Formats: sequence, structure tokens, C-alpha cells
Amino acid sequence: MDIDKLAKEAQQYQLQSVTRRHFLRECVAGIGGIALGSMLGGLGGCSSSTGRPLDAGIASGSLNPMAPRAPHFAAKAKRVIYLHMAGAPSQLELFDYKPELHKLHNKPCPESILAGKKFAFIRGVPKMLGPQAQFKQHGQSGAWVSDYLPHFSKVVDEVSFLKAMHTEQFNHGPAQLFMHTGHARLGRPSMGSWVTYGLGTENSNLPGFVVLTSGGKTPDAGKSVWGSGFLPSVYQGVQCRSKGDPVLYISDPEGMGRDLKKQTIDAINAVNQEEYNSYGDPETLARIAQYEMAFNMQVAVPEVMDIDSEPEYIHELYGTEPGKESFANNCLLARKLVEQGVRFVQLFDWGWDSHGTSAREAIDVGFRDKCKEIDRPMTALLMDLKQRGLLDETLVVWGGEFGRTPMQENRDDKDMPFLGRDHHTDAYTVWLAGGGIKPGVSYGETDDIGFSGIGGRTSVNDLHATMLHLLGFDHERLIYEFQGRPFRLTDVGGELISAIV
Amino acid sequence: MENGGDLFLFLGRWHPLLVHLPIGILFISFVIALVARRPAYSGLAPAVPFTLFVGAISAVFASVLGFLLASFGGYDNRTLGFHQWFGIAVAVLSILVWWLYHRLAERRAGMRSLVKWRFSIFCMLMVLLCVTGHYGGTLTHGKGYLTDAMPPALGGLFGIEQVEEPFVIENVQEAAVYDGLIQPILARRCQSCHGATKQEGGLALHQQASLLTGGDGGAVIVPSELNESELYTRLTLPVGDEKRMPPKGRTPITPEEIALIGWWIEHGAPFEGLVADVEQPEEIATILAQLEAGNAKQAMPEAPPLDATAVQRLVERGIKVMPVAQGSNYVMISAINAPDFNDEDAEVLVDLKDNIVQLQLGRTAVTDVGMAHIGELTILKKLHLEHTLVTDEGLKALAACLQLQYLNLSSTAIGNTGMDYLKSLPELTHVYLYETKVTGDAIADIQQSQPTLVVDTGGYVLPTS
Repeated sequence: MDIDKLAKEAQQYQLQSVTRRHFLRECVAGIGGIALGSMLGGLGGCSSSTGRPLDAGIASGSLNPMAPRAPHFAAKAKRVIYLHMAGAPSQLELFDYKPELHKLHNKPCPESILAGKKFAFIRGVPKMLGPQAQFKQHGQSGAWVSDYLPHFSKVVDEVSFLKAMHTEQFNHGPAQLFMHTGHARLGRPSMGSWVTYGLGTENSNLPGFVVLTSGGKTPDAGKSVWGSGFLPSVYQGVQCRSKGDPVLYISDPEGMGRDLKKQTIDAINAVNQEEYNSYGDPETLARIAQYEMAFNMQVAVPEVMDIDSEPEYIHELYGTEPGKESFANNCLLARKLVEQGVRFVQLFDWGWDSHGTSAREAIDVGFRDKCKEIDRPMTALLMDLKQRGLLDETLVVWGGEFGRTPMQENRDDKDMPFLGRDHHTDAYTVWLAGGGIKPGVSYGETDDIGFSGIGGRTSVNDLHATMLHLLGFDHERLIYEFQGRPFRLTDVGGELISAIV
Repeated sequence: MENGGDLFLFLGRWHPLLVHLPIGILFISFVIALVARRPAYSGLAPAVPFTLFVGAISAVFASVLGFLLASFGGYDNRTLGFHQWFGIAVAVLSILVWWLYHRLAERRAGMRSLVKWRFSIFCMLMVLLCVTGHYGGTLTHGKGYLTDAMPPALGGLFGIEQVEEPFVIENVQEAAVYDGLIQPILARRCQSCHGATKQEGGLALHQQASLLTGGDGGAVIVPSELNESELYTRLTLPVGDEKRMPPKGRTPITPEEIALIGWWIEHGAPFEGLVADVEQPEEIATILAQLEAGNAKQAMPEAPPLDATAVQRLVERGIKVMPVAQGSNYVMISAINAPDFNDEDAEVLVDLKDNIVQLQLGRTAVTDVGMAHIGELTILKKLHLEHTLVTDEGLKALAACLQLQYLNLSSTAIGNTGMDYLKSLPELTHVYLYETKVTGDAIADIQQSQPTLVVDTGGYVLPTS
């Protein structure tokens, strides 16, 4: 490319960047014009106010959007590990024991229950499906856990259950969005983004929000469940691969040394800083921070994502097999990441949608195998965090995007080849542990067949409000101004679930 | 722009002064227009368009200066938005009103209908002017500058909420259970609608007699029968239920206050006797204790300001200094990005000894030498020393850290001797000893002197199936 053409392009670019507004601004004679022009231009524009004090980042003294920041009040939890079972596991085979449902097994579902209800696949009058697992009470807290989770049942005294969670969405995509962004449609920031927006990152060499997936697929709602929505994009989740290079192209290309790389990034950032000084776009700061972070990550990420170096007994505890993409590997990685100060680790495990259309989707076959897959690693995660003194300040949350029906699914009003349950919004179970959660509590109660919550009902907004509370935030005050109104994770809802904190 | 910046800011700063011109001029114009409507003063009428013209010009000028000032930032965006747009509306409207009072407009056939309404539009302009002025005042003096000084009775008239006083009862066990505890809760939460002045649904809760009589639907309290007592069931309906009390938009009642009312009804709703006379389950005892203490967090005195030099030195070493909460001088220190944190760095921490409550030194190069300095951090509550070279000797220095609650020693060379040094720490609740040389005897020993201490030696295994 000849140099003249480059120079011309640069000049063009320069001219394009001088907009009407800049011209008027520079022109003293047009003071009145400036005012009117900009005022009209500002109509419907977005406000850059963040609702977040700037003084909090005393440690950084810079404009770095990832600098650690103080919460509203002293926090009990510093970090979160969120285990999401994409597809929605059946609460009726795991935690919500319903002996009455057993008696109704194979009997037609009473009309009174179906009246006015809509289901994703159930049509006509389905049959009731009794619990397919054996239940027992465990630990000093006497929590009900089924024989599908033999290991987990030994650590129930560390855990608190929300038995009457409910949601508004009965399809996976919207329900997952609702669960992770507080809104069923696209465009809102995910919980992890809100948390890193509020707290920044403690470790400047690692992202504040890391996402790991297993089960062969990413969640139905796509990457929006860890997106940053309207928050600056620096707060979006960074997905790491648990197999192969954790981040693609993490190593330097041949001939590019660390020093040269550093100089390159410093130069680019200096230019970007100029850009920020003249335009003040937070996305420019995001870009600067991301270059810095990427440079640091080149060293830090391969180190923290390497589970080979873990001792053998840790692999035995988690049931990990290095080199594979598995929920177990991701649990171990989650521990390593929080140990290194990552704020929010989001795990997605796919394959929990037990409709009964195939053996893999059967409550008594595929679902049971999935339970076996997660039982050891998630139990190991709690134990390992505990012995390292990390559970104290790490909030662990487990759940799906909704529950499953007490009725057997009869897709298109026909009998199904295997036992399955349909999507259900009225009742499901979420458990939380560590990070200031009162252990051994079971909050909320469902009716005799586990269809609806009859006491202690908790919403997705309530769960978010409680998580933010443990992280030191008043959920009504962690806001971001966008398109002329303040937004928050809990939107206009959410109440602290004080029974479990 | 960089060269012109100072000039614009300078011009902008005249805005707070010059805004008083349109306020004064438009106001006097309005007064003239008002009195000129009476035949006796109709001679004043020609002054109206003239003063309006001057007022409108000054309003436009003030708006432009205001816009310049606003572009330099530093104001609350929402209030600024209101002030800006109302201000522009004042300028635009004052031009319109001037035109309507101008004799040219009177002659135009198309304008006749508007001219008829010109005084009403002028009234609207005055309202807008007041609102704009109010938002402007809020920007300079801060929210509530006006209303804070307002007598409470007057504030109620405007629906301005008073900031809630924390509910504190000194010596709660000795308080009268009804007069001292339950009645004050009802007074706080219910009696603005169910009291002496207003009895919604025929219910008044300010007197024993009327409380027992109940409302239009009958009694609201059935002693000892919680589920029969409407007073209680109405409080516990799901959020969003239109029968839930207090209704939407009113200050909500706290879960603790609901629990206390429930507890009182359950125990026969006594009107006599002391709090101590009524049987108290554990959770009620906790709530009562909290009432006595008020807000325990407020009791903790604020830390002195941070030593800027010390903070600077730590930050330069890659060490994070993070306030525990916004506006607090208590800090957490983390050396997570400074694995080479050493004993000299530890010495710097001493300059922040009245500020540091949490210290994360896991996986650093700190040794027993540095521990001597860490021992001077007497308000330390949480200390991470995992994966360090600290030994039993080093723990000796912690004797003065009397507030220490959490100590992580996993993967260190700590042994049984080290445990002896921890016995004198009264607040210690959690010690982590995974991968250390401490044995069961020493743990049993320390737990004998500190029964509430949780010692975690880890090494958990899951059976292989």
C-alpha cells in the first residue's frame, strides 16, 4: 500500500471525526448555535452517569474500569461460583420429596390443577408421575436429598435450600436469560457483569468474570447469559475452554517476544488514551483495559487453567480427567479461579432437559447419569473450598432455569417411550452455600404434589437481591443509567431472602 | 477546544449569577400584566411586551451560559436534565409570550385565538420558572436543602417522607411488652391510616380498647391464635397482594417487626407486663437484642484517614488496598498480584494499622520477620497466610491481634507449638490447617480452651464407588 493513500485515509478519518457538534463547539461566534445544536442532539441520547462513585478505586488511582471497588457496605462474600444446570433438573427427584405424589403415580392429573395453566409440551390430561428416586433426610439439618446424589447428601449441613423458587418463563432461552440477567428478553447485563461492574477485579491478571461450559453445548439462550448488555463491554464474561488452549491464540506468534508485545500494547493504549481524552467514550477505556488484561492473561491464564499440576488426591476427590471437557474439570477450575481472586465464575452444564423422549432424556436413566456426573465434583468443590478456608467468602449457587412438572410428560397428548417431566415454572429448588449463607436452612415449601409453592415463595429477583446483598450491595442502589432511566439487575422487584443470610 | 475550554467554563460560571435576571424581569413583567388587566392600571400595559422582551433575551442568554456550565459536568445527571429542559422551555415560552403581547400579533387574524389565552400561558411560564429555579437550587445546594428545614407538619402536607429514625429500645427486656414494644411498632407502621386522626376500614390501633374492638370486619386480634388474627395475616400476605398491609407505597414493615407482633399475639397478646415476662424463642431473643443495640455497625468508630504515602508505596508494589465499603477508611489488603511481597513490605503495613481489617498474604514471600510487623495490626480480623514460609515462631507475634477472627495457615510449616500461641486470641472463630503438621492432640487442646473455635484440617475424601 502506498504511503500517500494511507496519509489520505488518515486525513479523511480526521475530517470525519470533526462533527457538526465539534465545529460549533470550537467556533466561539456560534455559542447560541452550540447550545441549541447540542441540546437537540442530546435528545434521546444516553447518559453517561454510572450511579457508581468513582472514589472507590483508591488502589488504582486510574480510570481502569476493572480496578477493585468497594461495595455499598461490608460484604460477607467476595466471590461467586454459579453452577447452572442448563435444561432444568427435576427438583422432584433431587430435593423436593413428595410422598403424596407417589400415591398418585399413574393416576390422571386432576382437572383442578390443570385449569388455566399452560405447559410447554403437556397437552390434554397427563398422568401423575411419582418420585423416581429414594429419599432420605441427611445431616443435622435433616435436609431431604435423594439417592441420585449420594455424595452431596453428606455435605447438606453446609447448604441452604430455596424450595419454592418460581419463574415467569417456561422455555429454556427466555428462562435462562431471566435467571442470569433478571429479564426474559435480550439486552440486559448478566449477574456476573453487574458484580464485576460493582466490584471490579481483585486480580489484575485475570478477568473478573469467567465462564466455563460442559455437556457438549452452550446454553440455549446463547452467550447473552454472560453478556454485559448495556454495561461497558469490559464487564462481559470471558469464556475459557476447558479443553485445549483455554483462550484461543493465547501464546505469542513466532518472532514476537514479550518485550515487543508490551511496547506494542503500550503504544496502542497511548493512542486510545488520547482518543478517550477527546471523546470520553467508556468503550475506549474498556478497550485499553482489555489489551492490558490480555497481555497479563497470557501468563496468568495458562497457569491457573492447568489442572495437570494438581496432586493426584485432588483429581480423585473431584473425579477429574485432565484434557477432557467435563463438569468435574470445570469445578476444579472454578476453585482454582476463585483462589486467584476471580469475582464471578459461571459454570454451565448442558443436558438436563428430561422430557422422556429418549433414554438420555429419561428421568430414571439419562437424568440419573447426569446426577452421577455432577454429584462428586460439586460435593468435592464445596469440600475443597472449605478446607482451603475459601467457602467462608465464596458464595456457591446451584440451580436450573425452572423446575419440572409433577405430571409425566405426554407430548402431543401421546404416551412417551420413557419417563419424563415437562418444564414447570411454579416450583423448583435452588441451593446456596458459603459466602455468608446461613447453613442448614430449608426455606420455602411446596404443596403435597410439588406443583406450587405454598409458603416462602422466592422469585428470581429475590435470589439476585440476596446474592448482591451478600456481596455488599443494596440491589436497589447498584444502578446504571441507560436510555434515560436507571437500570438495575432486579429491575423493579426483588426482596432480600433474610431467612438464609 | 482545549484552548477555548477555560473561556467557556469562565462564561458558564456566570450562569448562577445571571439566571436571576430572567427570574426578576419575567416576574415583574407578570406583576405588571396582572395589574394591567384592571382598567385603573391599563396605562401600564405597554410595559408588558417591553419587560417580556428583556426577560426573554436574558432567559436565552442564561440558558446558553447554563449549557456551557453543564457541559463541564460535575452535577447529578437526573436533576441536571430536568433543570436544563425546563430552563430551555422557560426561554422558548417567554419568547412566545412576548410575541403574543406584541401588538403585531394582535393584528394577525391567525393569532387571535392564542392571544386570548396569552395570560394563561404567561401563568404557565411562571410555574415553569419556579420549577426550573427549584431544580437549579437543588443542583447547587443539594437535594432536600429546602425540605429538610421544613416543619414536619408542613412536610406531611406535601407528602415529603421523613427520614426514618432507627427503632431503638434501651434495656428492652425491662420495657413494657405492649406500651414499650408493640404499641410503638403499631404507631410507626399503622397509625397514619389506623389511628386517632384516620380510621381506614373503621380500624384504630392507637388505643387498647379500639385495638380489641377491631374494624368494620370485626376483631383483628384473637389472642394466641395467630392464623385467626387478621392484624397478623394481613401483614404476612404475599407481596403484591392488594390486601397486604402496609399497602404499596407506604413505608414497609420489617420482617423483624412482623415477627415481634406475631410473637406477641401468639403469647396471648398481653397488655400488661414486661418483655422479659413473655417466653422468648431464640429468634425473638435475637431480634430484641438487636433493638437494644440499635445498629451495631454504627457503634464501630470510623477509622482515621489512610496514610497516603503508605498506600502509594503498596500500590506501586502491585498490592491492592480496598476499602471494605464505600466511604469507609477500613481496608482490605490483598497481595494476590504481588507474590514477592516481603518482610519490608510488611513494615509499611504498620502505617495503616488503624485501617487494616483484612489481610491477604497467601502465596507471598512473607516470613516470621514480617510477622513481627503484622502483629502490630491490632484491629485485624481476617488473615490469610496460606502457602507461606511462616512458622510457629511467627505466630507468637499475633498475641496482640485480639480481634482476629479468621486465620488461614493451610500449606504452611505450622505445627503443634504454633497452636499454643493462638490460645490467647479471644475472638478467633476459624482456623484453617489443611496440609500442616498440626495433630489431633493440639487441636483438641486448643478447642478445650476455645470451645467455639472451628478448626478445619481438611484432607477430605469421597468414597470411590
